[in-house]
Amino acid sequence: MSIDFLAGLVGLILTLLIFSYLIGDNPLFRLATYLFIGVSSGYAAAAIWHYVLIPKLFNPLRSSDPTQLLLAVIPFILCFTLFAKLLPRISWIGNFAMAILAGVGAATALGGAALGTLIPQSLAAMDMFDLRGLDRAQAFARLVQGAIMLAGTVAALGYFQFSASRAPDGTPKRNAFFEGVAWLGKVFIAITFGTLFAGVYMAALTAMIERLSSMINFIRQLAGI
Amino acid sequence: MPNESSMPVSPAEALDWLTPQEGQKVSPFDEKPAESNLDWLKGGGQETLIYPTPADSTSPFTKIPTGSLEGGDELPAWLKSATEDPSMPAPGALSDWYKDDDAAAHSPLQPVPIDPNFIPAPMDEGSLSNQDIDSLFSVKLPDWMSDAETKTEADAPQQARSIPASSDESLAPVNLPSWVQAMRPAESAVVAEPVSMSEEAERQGPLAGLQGVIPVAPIGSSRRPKAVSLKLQASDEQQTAASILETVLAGETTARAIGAQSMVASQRILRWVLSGLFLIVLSAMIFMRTRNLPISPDLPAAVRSAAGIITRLPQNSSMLIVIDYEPALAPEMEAVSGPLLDQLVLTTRARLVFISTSPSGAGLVNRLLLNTGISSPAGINYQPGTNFVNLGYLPGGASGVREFIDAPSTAMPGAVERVFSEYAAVIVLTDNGESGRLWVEQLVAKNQADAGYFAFQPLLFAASAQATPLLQPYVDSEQINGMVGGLADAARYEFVNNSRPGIARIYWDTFGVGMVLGVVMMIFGSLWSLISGILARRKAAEAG
Repeated sequence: MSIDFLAGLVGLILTLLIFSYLIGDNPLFRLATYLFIGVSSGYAAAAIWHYVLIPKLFNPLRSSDPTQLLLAVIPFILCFTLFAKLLPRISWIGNFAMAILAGVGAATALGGAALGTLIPQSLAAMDMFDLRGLDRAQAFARLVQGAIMLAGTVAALGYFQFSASRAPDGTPKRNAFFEGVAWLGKVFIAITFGTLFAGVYMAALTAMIERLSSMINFIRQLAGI
Repeated sequence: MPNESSMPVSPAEALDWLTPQEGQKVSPFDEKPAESNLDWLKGGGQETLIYPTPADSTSPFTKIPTGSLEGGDELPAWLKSATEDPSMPAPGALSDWYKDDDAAAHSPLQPVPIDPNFIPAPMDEGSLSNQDIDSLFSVKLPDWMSDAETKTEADAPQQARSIPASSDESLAPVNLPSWVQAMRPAESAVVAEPVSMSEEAERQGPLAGLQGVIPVAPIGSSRRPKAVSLKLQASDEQQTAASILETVLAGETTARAIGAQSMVASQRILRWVLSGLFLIVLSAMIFMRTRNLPISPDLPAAVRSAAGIITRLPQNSSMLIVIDYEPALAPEMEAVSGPLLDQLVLTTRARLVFISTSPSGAGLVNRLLLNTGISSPAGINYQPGTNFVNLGYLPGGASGVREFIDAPSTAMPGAVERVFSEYAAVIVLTDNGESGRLWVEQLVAKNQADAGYFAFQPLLFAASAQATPLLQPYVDSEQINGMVGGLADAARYEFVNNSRPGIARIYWDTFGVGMVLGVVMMIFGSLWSLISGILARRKAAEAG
């Protein structure tokens, strides 16, 4: 019995267990999900130990270079202080390491978002109305495309504008202009969600095809077809 | 000199007014001294009086014929029942709380248990001399009473002698009919709890010199519990807020009406029907291994750009491949990235350097290379260490990415490239637009901080269909130089790439049928919902 056969058999059984959810939540489905979660967690722990802790935390401590050793001890101590978070009385000891983690992470993410997304995307939106060097047809097509994109962006943002004045009957009511913008924004948001749903459906459909293909191929192999 | 009518004749007679309170006991003896006053009670010894309760009769008493009590020691059955304690006390009877020791200690008269067989000796008026009576009082009376009597006799001896004379013809309290005495309310209103007694000695009157006789507080104190207003002092605003809270709580606690059982069952059946339909159709397509659906040779702009960039990459250079997807979407990602990697390897014979931004991604590298035919002996047969290397998991999210861009060998000890620019190209395989965006942002930020750091390094993406819409703006802004998004792009890429490695082509027919089936289902469901809604509205309008 080869390892491929065993792998195929386990894959077939687990796939059927997952498909059993069609008849509702049941112990077989839960068995498969618990198994998946357990295996994933165990593999993640092993990967972190193998790829992170040993090469980046413990191996540098064996260095003979005092400078390297000092640089290795500092993160080791900071990591060790994080264990203090387990005890409420001395949890403050881990605050410094947590502050470094949160601060550096936030700074990196914010800097990247500003320089990599906000500014470049704003410039790209402006470039849509740069018609220099284009013939009339290209310019018209680009202008329409830019106008739709601009209208979608403004309308979608306008949909989340919830400031309103009070109507004579006391109910809050936006003025007619913002109501129209919000309605248009709702249309664009619906199209966006529809696009995202289509993408999720295609991804799930591909995964399902692969599973069915794997099962059928295994059965064919067993049957010798 | 006390008259015989005023002295206690017998214990039973002294407590005669209490006997009805003890449960309507029948008097077992004749009261001779009271005979003269109780002629109306005579019944020839054949009748016994019982004290009726108001509920029994409007008559003050009822005559019940009885036999002679002297006939035997045993009482007749009806008398036994009468002598037993009733289950409920008669009106005016003492309650249980009154019979406790504490109440008894404060009661001026202690009920004495009466022996039903006790028959007192007949009393003769002449048989009691004055000496006998004095001797009785000299023994029984307390000292204070003796002192008071001595003083009284000394102060007014004539008055003391006149009292018995005047009382000869009067009715003593003990001679009142028992049922009348039973109606006396005075002694029944005994304090239920002990009251504090005055610690000061009395200075005047018969109680002079005594202390602790008169309670400090009057019996039956008029003190009442402090009145507490039950009206809630709340303002209108508070009451409005309370009503709102009540409404909210009512909305939360009210059980929602669930759909009828038939509706739930029909939805379950509908789910089974749809699932079965998909399974049957897709399995049939896979089983038949059809290759009938056409594939357009026209590549999207992003795919065409990616294919063009790969052809221009230097030979035998290192390429960084970022694994940024979860195992659940590995089949799709292998199908999507397969033609891109296949062309890359075949065109440039590049050295592939894999790095993963998810812990489970490190284990997906070998599967990717096997399924795309890159490391399989029957395929390109890339060898680990020589042709490709798996650096493993890169932790830290955005910080880790930035660290790796700054110094690859520091961030990942297995990396041989000291600077990021040694990678000829970066190819990100992602199923998540957010995490894939991190590479774009950090590369752009690094390039702006250090101008031209990787100006000539292309950034390519192979993205899942669900991540493609989120990454498309970066393609349009040319921050991403080329992208293959989803199975549709991959199938076209394969068609241009001489149908290698063929995964997308295998899935393509089934994928197309599944897409059509999904669209048909959505249209059918929408029409069904629309028609049923119109019919329901029309039905509601007809029903008024």
